[in-house]
Amino acid sequence: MNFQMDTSGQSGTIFIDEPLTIENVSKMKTVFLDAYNKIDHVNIRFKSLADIDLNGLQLFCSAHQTFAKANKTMDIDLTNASIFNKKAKKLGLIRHKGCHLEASENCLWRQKSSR
Amino acid sequence: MDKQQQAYREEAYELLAELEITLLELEENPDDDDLIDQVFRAMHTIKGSSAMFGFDAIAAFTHEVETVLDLVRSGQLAVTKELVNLALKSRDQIKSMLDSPDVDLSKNENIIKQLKGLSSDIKIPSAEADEFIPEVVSDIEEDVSDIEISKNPLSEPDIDLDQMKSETPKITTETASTITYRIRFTPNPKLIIYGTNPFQLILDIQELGDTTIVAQTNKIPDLFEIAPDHCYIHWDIILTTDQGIEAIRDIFIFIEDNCDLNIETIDEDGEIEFGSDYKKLGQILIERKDISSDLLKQTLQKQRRLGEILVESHVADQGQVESALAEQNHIRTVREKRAQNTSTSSIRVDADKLDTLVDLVGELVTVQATLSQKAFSSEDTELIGIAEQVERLTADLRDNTMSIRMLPISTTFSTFKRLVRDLSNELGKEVSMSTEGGKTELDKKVIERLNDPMVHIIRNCIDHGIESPDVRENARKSRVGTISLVAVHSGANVLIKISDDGAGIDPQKVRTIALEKGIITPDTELSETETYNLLFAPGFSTAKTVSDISGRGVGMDVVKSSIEALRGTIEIESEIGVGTTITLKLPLTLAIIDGLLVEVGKEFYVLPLSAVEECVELTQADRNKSKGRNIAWVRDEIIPYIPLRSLFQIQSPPPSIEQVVIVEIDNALIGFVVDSIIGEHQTVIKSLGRVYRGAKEFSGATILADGSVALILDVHRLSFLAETLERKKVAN
Repeated sequence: MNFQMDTSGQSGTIFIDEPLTIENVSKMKTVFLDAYNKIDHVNIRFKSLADIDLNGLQLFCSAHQTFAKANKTMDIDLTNASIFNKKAKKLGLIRHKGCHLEASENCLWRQKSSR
Repeated sequence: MDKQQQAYREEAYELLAELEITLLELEENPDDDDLIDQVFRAMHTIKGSSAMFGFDAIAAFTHEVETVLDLVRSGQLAVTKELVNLALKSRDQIKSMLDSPDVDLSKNENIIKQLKGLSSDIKIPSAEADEFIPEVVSDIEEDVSDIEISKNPLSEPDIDLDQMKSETPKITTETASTITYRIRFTPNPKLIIYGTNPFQLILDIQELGDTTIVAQTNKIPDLFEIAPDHCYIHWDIILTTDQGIEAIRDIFIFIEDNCDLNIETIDEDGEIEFGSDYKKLGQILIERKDISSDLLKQTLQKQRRLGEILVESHVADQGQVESALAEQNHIRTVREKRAQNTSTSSIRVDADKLDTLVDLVGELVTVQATLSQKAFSSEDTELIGIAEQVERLTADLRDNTMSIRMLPISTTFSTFKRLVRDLSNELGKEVSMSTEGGKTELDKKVIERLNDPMVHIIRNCIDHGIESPDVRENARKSRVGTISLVAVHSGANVLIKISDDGAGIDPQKVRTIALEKGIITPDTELSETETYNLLFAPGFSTAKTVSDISGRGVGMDVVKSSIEALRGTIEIESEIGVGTTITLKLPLTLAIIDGLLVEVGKEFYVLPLSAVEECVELTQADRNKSKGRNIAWVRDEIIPYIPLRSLFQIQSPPPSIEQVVIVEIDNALIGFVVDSIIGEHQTVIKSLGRVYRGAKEFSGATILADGSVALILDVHRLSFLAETLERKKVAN
């Protein structure tokens, strides 16, 4: 996985091409932090997502909340990553309303989102 | 085969039928997790029950298919057309194995090989990942190995039939009593480091029954503080299961010291409180000790939606409210389902027993008619009263018994979806099928005998009717053709309309072919309907080449005879470039009909009342008016008639005034001349013996109140016979 900044310097994209399971989450955290420190808007793109586990989903939730609290935005394109929502659903993460941190109800796990 | 094995087979056939429907739905909605779960569950149940009842080959094969389907369920393998094809092939193979134990099992290997080929690109979690799981949880790993998807799922399956036999098929759980538990599971944040994956525990709980799971995420720290290998989530789980509380505790047995686990019973079968209503949101939150009753009271005074108020007031967070609402919803659903099960509980009865019951009711109707006749002729008022009561009861019994054999037509409609799919693929066409009126009921026997004619009609629609996608596009139509099946009630009949939006039938082309084949002569004048009816002539075919699908010139005539054998009719309407509709008109039942009893000579006959339009007198003056031709004038309209006396070669002189029973056949009115009309008659249909096998003009017989027999007239065949005889007469 890697992070690339756009030419504008305001946004960037994280490209993911490996399973987001426990063995990779520390690396993923570093990439997220790197993006957080450099830009206001990050796009997440999957080349393929063979697997994601509890720790991977949890890290996404954390990153999403962290960006939201700092008025930064995160756009996740789940093309090539259908497993993301399937696993989230199995774990009971998908919900009707957003978490309490987001008054805008822009929670990562909101069911009505296109994810 | 013992009764249990027979019951297994029946259930397996039902599951396979459902599986086919679900797979076809899944093909249209590949992201629908519920459908994926349904497919998996059906396969899983077949596997478990096959092993339990000694069908080991089926169990072994299903196990392999299930392994691949598990990859789909876990999101590692996408639902593609190819996968659905193979799943359908697997389903067909299981059915073949059920049909015949001697089926060629080499096909199994081929199907499995192809299924595994689909999943060959899946990245299996690396050895490092396996090593990450510490030895502490090796025992748990053994327990969950059956569903451990992160293990190598494509390795040679280690099929343990004994273990499979111990799996209780889910079909039995619906009748078992169920309990609903509220489980709050808060793992130690370091649980994963200690070697237990909470995800597996959640999956284990899901295996116990119906669950609603809400993960609480409010403890997840931000990016700066999160330890990625910790678990910050806790879960509220509502589980409805037929298992005891110990089964739940067993799942957590190895991590008891590394989690907070709270399990409470919140609903069970047999509770007096049986409605679908469940506790209010606030009550649930207080019970869970998420809020105090005082705070709830204060908050309630604000008179807004409680969940919103609680969240806005920071009394409860969104996750807690979401979880409580999920519990409320879960219990409502469980209770509604339970109430539904109680009110619609059913038993499985052998179809032969039902047939016997219908026969017995038929006999009873006959005996009751005899009793009524005797009672009225005796003028004994007490006996007449009893006879009237018996008559009422018999009528109720008859109606109830007949309704037992009625099945919704959707049972046969659903089987055609596969036919449309496979055939359109084979012909390179794109066709979708829609159905309407699937709840319309027909006698089980009518439905069974309707299958073959409908298959033929649908095949014709796809082969001859629907154009290829490019042709459709050029004609400014959607590339995808449509076939619609619609069933509606129409009096004592059901109309089934099979429509396509294809090229339609060209009447001129039909006429040309009929001329070429000598079915008509150049001077034959035909209406559009009559022209379409030529398609039902034996040997007619509009196809230029003979294909496997249709076009052999046999079929539509057989379709027509099959429908008429059901005492039904078939009609064609078509418009070039727009499409074709074939309408089947079928009686609701084949066992008892409302008939019109008539007398010819000294014999009695029954005409189906549903076909009768009206009855008129035929006097000598009427005969004189028609100058020897067999036509009657009814309100200035000419109605041709068939004198049954001469057709049946009855020598005795006719009465001075005869009766013409006018019936509708193929949209035309035709009269049948009889000596007298006795009246309406509840006709219990008996099949004819060998002596009458060749007499196709009679569709059956019935026993009258005095014990004599009346033949039931097949008006379609009678009119055809009369027409044929008339043509011969003219030719001579």
